[in-house]
Amino acid sequence: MTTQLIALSIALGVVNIVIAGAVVLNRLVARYSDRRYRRAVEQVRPIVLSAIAGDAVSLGVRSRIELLATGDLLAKYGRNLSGDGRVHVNELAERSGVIDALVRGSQSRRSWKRAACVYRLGDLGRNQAELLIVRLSDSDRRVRNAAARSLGKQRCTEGVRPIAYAFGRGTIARAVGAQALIDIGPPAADALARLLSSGPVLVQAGAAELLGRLGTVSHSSLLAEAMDHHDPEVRVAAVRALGRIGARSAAARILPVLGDPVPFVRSAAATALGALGSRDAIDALTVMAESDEYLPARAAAESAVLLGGRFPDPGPHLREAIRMSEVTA
Amino acid sequence: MADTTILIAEDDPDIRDLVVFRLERAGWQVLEAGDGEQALEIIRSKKPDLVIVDWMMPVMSGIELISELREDPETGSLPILMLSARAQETDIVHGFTSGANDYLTKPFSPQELFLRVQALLARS
Repeated sequence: MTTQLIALSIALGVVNIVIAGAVVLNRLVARYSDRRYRRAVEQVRPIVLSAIAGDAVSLGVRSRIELLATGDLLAKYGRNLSGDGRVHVNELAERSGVIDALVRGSQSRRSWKRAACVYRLGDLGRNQAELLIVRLSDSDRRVRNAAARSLGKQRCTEGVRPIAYAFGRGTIARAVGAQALIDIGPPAADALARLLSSGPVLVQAGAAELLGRLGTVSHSSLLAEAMDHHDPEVRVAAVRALGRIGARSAAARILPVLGDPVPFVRSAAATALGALGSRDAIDALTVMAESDEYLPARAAAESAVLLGGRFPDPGPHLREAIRMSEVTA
Repeated sequence: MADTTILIAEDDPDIRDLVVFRLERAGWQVLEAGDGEQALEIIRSKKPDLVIVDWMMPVMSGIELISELREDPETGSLPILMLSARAQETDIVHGFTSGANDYLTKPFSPQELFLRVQALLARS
């Protein structure tokens, strides 16, 4: 028994030593790699800077670490430069093999590597719409977010529809999807308008919401029509979008939505009328503030006060809204 | 041109290197600072002819640096170009009202930066 315990102790000791050795070795390898990476950055930096200035330089990238350092530097400068500087960054990225390496990396088995490569592709080189759209369906959310962001950075109009679908289905971060479409610009708004008319319900709701951020007054009649949609998610997104766009002419169309059967649609309508400065709505909002359920009543009270309504005998929601307006004035 | 000294206050060393490379190539002497406080020390000791300032820096922001410079009679009229990723209209207005003479947003063109620096120096 004693012999067995001694043997077990020795075995545990050996295992401990092996684990400690592995940790130390891992650290040493990491430190060595880091030093090599930094050295590579210092080596390629002057060449990259010359290339950005328009000099005809040749970048003889030899090792993987040099390729990585070049890719990181070029992606960083690609993000921060415009004009000729950006053109030169793209040319060098193509010539040095960085783009090809990133395309290969975007298919890596490791998700963090796919995400990093897809992210960098947005800052460099030629239009990669096809590859990036495929990555919008990646199993890893970070990769999908990076793909949406890169489609936006490359202003790929082909990406609008898949981004809007991903946005509507919640497979990418909402802020990332919205920013990508903002980066793509006016063509994105037109594509969203088409999706609002004829997409699956979740995509229609997403399209309406995004039109509120990207659209103009010219989209207000389409959004006004969407307020009659059978699905409340689409109705609420359309009402909010109209409030956000600031289409004053839509106020008359929003007013009947205060009677919507779904409370959160009524809340959104009340808030939108306040945002649009629709003084014609004060009476209806006051009635709603006194009689509706908690959330729509609160929203109605806030808008009624915002619009400068006068209330001889205010109920609790209106009193609260008046107090809040005095605090924030 | 070689007598002209420009200070670049920018916390990102890669962007700083890029600006230094472009300005030195134009024949100017370039000093570097990684934050606002370091920039303030260099400005007081070396008295550069122009300062390029990033907005978001550690220790002291670009806006705080500009305010300090404008309050000091010795540096009150020093030409300042703000180079920032903050590109909203309100940010640009804030930059100018804080005392910047010019404002360039990132992403930026190195050629445009050079031309703006040249114009500011010619006006000063």
